[in-house]
Amino acid sequence: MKVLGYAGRRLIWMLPTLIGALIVIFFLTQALPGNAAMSRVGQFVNPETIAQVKHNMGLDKTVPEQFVIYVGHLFQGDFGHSWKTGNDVIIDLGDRLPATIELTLYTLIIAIPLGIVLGTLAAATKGSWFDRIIHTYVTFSLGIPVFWLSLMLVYIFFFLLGLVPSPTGRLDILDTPPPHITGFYTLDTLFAGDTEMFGRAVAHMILPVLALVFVTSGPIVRVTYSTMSNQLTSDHIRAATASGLSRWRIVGRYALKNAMIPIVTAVGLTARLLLGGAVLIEIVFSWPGIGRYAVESLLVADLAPLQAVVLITTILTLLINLVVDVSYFWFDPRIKVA
Amino acid sequence: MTITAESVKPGIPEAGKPLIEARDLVKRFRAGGSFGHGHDVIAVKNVSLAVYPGEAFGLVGESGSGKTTLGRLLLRLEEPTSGQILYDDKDITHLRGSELRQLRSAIQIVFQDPYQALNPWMTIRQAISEPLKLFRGLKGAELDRELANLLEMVGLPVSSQKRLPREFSGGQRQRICLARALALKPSLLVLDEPTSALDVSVQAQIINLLRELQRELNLTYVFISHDLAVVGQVCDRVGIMRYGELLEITTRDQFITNPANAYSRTLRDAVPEVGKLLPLMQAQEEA
Amino acid sequence: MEEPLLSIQNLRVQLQQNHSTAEVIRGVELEVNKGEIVGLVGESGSGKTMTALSVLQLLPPSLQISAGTIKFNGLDLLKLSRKELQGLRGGSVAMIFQDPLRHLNPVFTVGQQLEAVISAHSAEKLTKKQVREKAIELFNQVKINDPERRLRSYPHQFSGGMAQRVMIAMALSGSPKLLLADEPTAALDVTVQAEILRLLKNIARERGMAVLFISHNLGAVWQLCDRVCVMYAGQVVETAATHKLIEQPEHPYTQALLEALPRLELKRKELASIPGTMPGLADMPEGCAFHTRCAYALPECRLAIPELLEMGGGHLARCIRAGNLPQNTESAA
Repeated sequence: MKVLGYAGRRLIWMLPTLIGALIVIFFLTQALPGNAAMSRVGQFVNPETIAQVKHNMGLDKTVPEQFVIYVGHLFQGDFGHSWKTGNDVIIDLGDRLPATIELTLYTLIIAIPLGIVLGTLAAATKGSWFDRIIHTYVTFSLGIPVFWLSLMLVYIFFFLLGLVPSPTGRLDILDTPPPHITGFYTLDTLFAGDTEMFGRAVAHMILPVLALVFVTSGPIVRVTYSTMSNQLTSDHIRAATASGLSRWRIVGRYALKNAMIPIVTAVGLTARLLLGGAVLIEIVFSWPGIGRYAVESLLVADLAPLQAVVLITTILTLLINLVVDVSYFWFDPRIKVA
Repeated sequence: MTITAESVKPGIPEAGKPLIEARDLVKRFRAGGSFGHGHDVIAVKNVSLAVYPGEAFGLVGESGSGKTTLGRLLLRLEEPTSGQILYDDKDITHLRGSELRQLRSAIQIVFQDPYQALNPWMTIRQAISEPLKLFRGLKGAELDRELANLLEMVGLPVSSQKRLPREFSGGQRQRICLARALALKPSLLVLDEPTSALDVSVQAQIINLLRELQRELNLTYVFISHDLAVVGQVCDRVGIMRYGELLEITTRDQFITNPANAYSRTLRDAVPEVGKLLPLMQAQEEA
Repeated sequence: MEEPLLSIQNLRVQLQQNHSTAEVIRGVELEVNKGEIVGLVGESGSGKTMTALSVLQLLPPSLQISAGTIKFNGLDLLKLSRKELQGLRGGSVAMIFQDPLRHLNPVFTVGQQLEAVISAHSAEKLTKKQVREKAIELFNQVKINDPERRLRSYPHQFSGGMAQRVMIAMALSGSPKLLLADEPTAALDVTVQAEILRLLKNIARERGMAVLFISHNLGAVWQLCDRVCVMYAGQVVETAATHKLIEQPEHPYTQALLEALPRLELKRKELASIPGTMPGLADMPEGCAFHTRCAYALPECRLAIPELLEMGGGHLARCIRAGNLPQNTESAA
């Protein structure tokens, strides 16, 4: 019960944080170089037209005024309008956010258990050849740029071997997306009963997920390895070994539960980074996620989408932090609500 | 060991009057919780005692008895929640700043864990000459002489000064800590479990040294320990604490033969001694 | 004469450190008979804890058993398979440790930990209810009140003494014939210590269980043990029945140790300290490890490591002058 109260308090505290974030977002985007009106209509237009466009875009009001208007709209669910795509931002988000989340979720579902298992096995077999292989894996995982890796994967598996479809986004070029229920193509295609398209949606995800899993599992393996190594030499593990419990139980349950807090913290970090939009992956695979959305809007000073994406990622970050923090109570009974 | 006339601190308060006195001391700690949700731990409950110059006063008790907190209060490492501490008739309860620093040259401490009490990156010379420089303003040849004097006093070779703590054993480190404490020429030395982390044979060396130093430098000791046998060998009077309260103060002889308080008796009986049978005890209330 | 329950012969353990090896246990001989309580006494660095850890092969990776045999009930423990060793641990041979709060898993309840051990050592498959009942029964045996509630608690909610009782309960769950107790009372208050010692003695006697009690506290050893082995610098230097060792120590180190012990007695005396310190691995003296600090050292002491000499009645001492030392402990040299 106390934990629920804690979670509730944290959620309430999110509001001031968000307002603070919004202020920063808003004023920072205002400070961006470039003339929003000009990028919209081009440079070779007479000043009166620009002034008119500015007025239409509401850019001639004072900045604080614009802010208040903006927040007012937010409460109505109006994230503004992207003049670049021509849609309301909320519509765009409805497509792009699930694209990023889908990629993130599948990556995490694979990378987390993979990282924990590899890290645990390496710590439990310290000094062995297996341990050394894992270390090499981690070195590459941390060192190889995801951009380069993605290109290599595309080159090898698509171009040379033809095993996966071309990197044209979430589906083949000629496909029309399934009716929007969750926004997750792997689910929506099944809901629509279209198993062939389901297959294509999965196929398009293989390479990006592979690349992401490779680079995100490294830190998880590393944290797991280091905390598990500590745990395995601790006194209580020695006592458990002395009492004749099986090695599996000792490593997989007794030691691992103690190691979870640093691991979960690292996982939270990874999740936050992924949700921020793995822009480079999205570019290589033409993935229509929020990362690309934000960057493309930034390049043309289309401010509404930019603000919306930053806002969304802030909310998601705070939520992930909350989940991670609440999990601490579950993992370590010594931690009590203050 | 060389004792020069100088090494005996001038201005020692006359015997008969307590050197340090605690009057109705209370120390309360707030445990747990922000937003006022914490609860209080009363580590020291209305303790009054007086320690006279030249005596060795033992403070015994089990964990949670408050003896360490009381020791820290006497040193003014903590400020009491209420009550008074008087040193040489001066009220030191709420001293701050430079006055408190001056107190430091009169009252010093030796801690339990010699492995943690010394900065591992400082040579012995640096560790001991720091107080000599800062408090007694010594430098040059004078500093060297005093440093050598102190090392000799605690039975360490003068060459030790260039070495680092990790090159020394537990007992030797404890000697270094003693030398450092004595560098300020204190009148009162609070010793918080100084031999608990040491082996029996080394413990004996330190106990002998402590007794010798007390005699020759006319020191006053407040000796905190859970080891009753050690306290019995070093101290003249003993205060027994439990759950923050001072249950009784008795002479060492009285404590060994016939303590008045029931808990003191329990404590004394529980000490495992060669030649003594296991006490017949029922499961006592757990703390 | 029955075979001893535990027999350690010529145990040698090496420490691997930065490409160099040093011997930390240099030929230990030790026996524990059925139902006997044997004390293993020594100061830090003597190797007593490592000797006990060797029995169940719980040494950290940097320490290796390089020679010797450890026989339990005739079984050579060093030749056991991994599975057999696991069955032995917590089964016929159990171990309890110093500082019990550090040796209990902080994130599981005490009940979960105890029940895991009970299930691991029971011959047949037990139901949850049976396991729970056994746990409560064990808690009663170690005199823990309100066992149901306690089983649901976490280790950090226990005091040191209670935690040690929990560890003892866990150790007893496999009905061991031999209990290795590594300084079980060192981190406890003196009144709690007395209770735990008493508990151990009662349990050992009731079950006919043998105990190897490792300690640096001679007083506790006196109270608990039938026989004592004294270790110094990785070797056993003396072993005898407890009262014999105290009244008539034959090894200079034992003598010096007894003289250095502060007693809670009226007489104040200059404690006879032993000059110097126990040699570290790097500077082990030639011949007898103690001779550099010994009041009775002779030039011959440097020539060879002395054998354990039989003094009669199972009293052994590793000194060439054993039996000829002045017994008046007031004047050493």
